[in-house]
Amino acid sequence: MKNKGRKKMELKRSKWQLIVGSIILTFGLVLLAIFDLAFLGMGIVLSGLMLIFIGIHWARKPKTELPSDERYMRINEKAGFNAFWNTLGILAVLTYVDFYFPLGQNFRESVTLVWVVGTISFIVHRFYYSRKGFK
Amino acid sequence: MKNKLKVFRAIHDLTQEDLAEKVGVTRQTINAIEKSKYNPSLELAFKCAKLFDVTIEDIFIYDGAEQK
Repeated sequence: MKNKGRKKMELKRSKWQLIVGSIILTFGLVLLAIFDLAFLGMGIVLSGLMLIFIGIHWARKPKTELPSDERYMRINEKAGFNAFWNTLGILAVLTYVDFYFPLGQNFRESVTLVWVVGTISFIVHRFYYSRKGFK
Repeated sequence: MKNKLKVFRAIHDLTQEDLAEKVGVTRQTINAIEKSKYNPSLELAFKCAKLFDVTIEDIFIYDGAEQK
């Protein structure tokens, strides 16, 4: 039996996440402490912490678990292609609805819907192709 | 497309992770290839064949299945 041992953390691999995360975290703390912008500051601090945690998470993973190979690229391509057509489809539907039932100036809600459909479509397709596989 | 990757891996006493590291892909990709869920690129197929010192046809068998 092969001795796998515990993989050591490779922080060098995630240096950009850690550097940018630290900068964002510091910026958030400055906003919190000096400018008294609690809501904005907390949001930025959380963003910085998330980036740092993501960096540490990837640094702990062995090299063979990093999703950057040809299969993941093809999954992303296929999911992106489907998400693009879904986004275009929802835009077409919105245009069609607007033709008969004018949405008026409610641009923000329409954009949010398109954004949500596009993002969710991409995530769902990525998950689907990753699990089911494709040829 | 069928393949004998698992057989060759067993002959050479390699784990999925070992093979993944040698050919420069993820372990999940090796798993997907073995389960015929994914057809590798020509480059990856050549890498596997070279690693096991056989031809591509020895590992990958084209059965004329319809492409999805």
